[in-house]
Amino acid sequence: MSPIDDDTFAAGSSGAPDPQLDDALRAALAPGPIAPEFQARLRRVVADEFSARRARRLTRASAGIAAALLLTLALARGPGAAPRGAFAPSASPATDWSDSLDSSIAMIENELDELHVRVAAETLSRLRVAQPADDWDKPADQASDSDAPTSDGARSAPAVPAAGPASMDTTPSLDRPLSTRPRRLA
Amino acid sequence: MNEAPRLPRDDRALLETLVGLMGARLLAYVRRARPGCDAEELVAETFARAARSVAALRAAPRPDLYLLRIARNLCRDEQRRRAPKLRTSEWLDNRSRPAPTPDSAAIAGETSAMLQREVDALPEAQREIIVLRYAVGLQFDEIAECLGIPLGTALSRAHAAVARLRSRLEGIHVAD
Repeated sequence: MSPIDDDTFAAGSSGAPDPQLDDALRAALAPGPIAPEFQARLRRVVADEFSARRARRLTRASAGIAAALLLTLALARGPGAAPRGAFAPSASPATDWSDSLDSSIAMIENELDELHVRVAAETLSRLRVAQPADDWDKPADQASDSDAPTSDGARSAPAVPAAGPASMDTTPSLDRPLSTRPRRLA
Repeated sequence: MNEAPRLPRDDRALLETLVGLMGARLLAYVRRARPGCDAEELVAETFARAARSVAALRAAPRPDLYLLRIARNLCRDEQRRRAPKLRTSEWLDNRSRPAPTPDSAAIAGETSAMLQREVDALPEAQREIIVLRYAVGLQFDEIAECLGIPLGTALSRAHAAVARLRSRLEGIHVAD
């Protein structure tokens, strides 16, 4: 017992200690033994809460991993790319983690698809740079539209070579791509 | 309650230890200090909430007082929810003749039974201090901390309660 409060109290309002009443109150109000069933219920409550907490943690951890993946993908997309998913400005901070996880997974799949396509396109363009410059190497909008279908679906006729000395040049040249070499007249 | 037991490091083990240490005390507190509340339900909810905020429980200097505060807040919420349903006359009636608690039957002795009735009839603020003191086993500084009141207030309420109980006991003994 602390020397200040409990001594003060034990002295009682009349100044005389009243250990009899003190003991009687202790005996009357002492908590009875707790029923084993109730104790078991309390333990079950605690166990349930911890199971739920563990599940919540796992979901959060998964969502965290998903968010990290999204961030990595966002960085791979390069600067200036609009933030998505959990990083989007409109994302609510109080997001339901399971919903967030689902949407993050979907987003990762989309991002991976896009990234895959982008990497493939870049690889292709690098390969093209290594090729000699030619009509087919140009971007689609600059390329000759000789092979492009016309509005009625038919292919346009091949361009007629301009008349002149160049068109009559029959000198074989290995520097020139085959497609531009003049055809030998039969 | 006077010596703080060594608490386990594992959160779940900590809660289970507290179930053993505090289960009966919390039940006694709710039954006696807050009659009308579903004591078992509230104590179970107390442990559920403690498990949900186990970090705060562990950070608390006295986990037992922390649990008591949760139980007390739950009781007050419950009482607030019920309050509009009771008319003043019913409320006064409930205060003067509180429902008997399950452990009152187990307690032998006329004086004990009578004291329980008298404690139940105390004003709530006084009753709570008496219950925390004698049923839960707290010291007055702990009671003051638990209730968030100055020590002097806790002591003066206790004095008033004991004086009232003493006069009631003397009156009964004289009548006998």
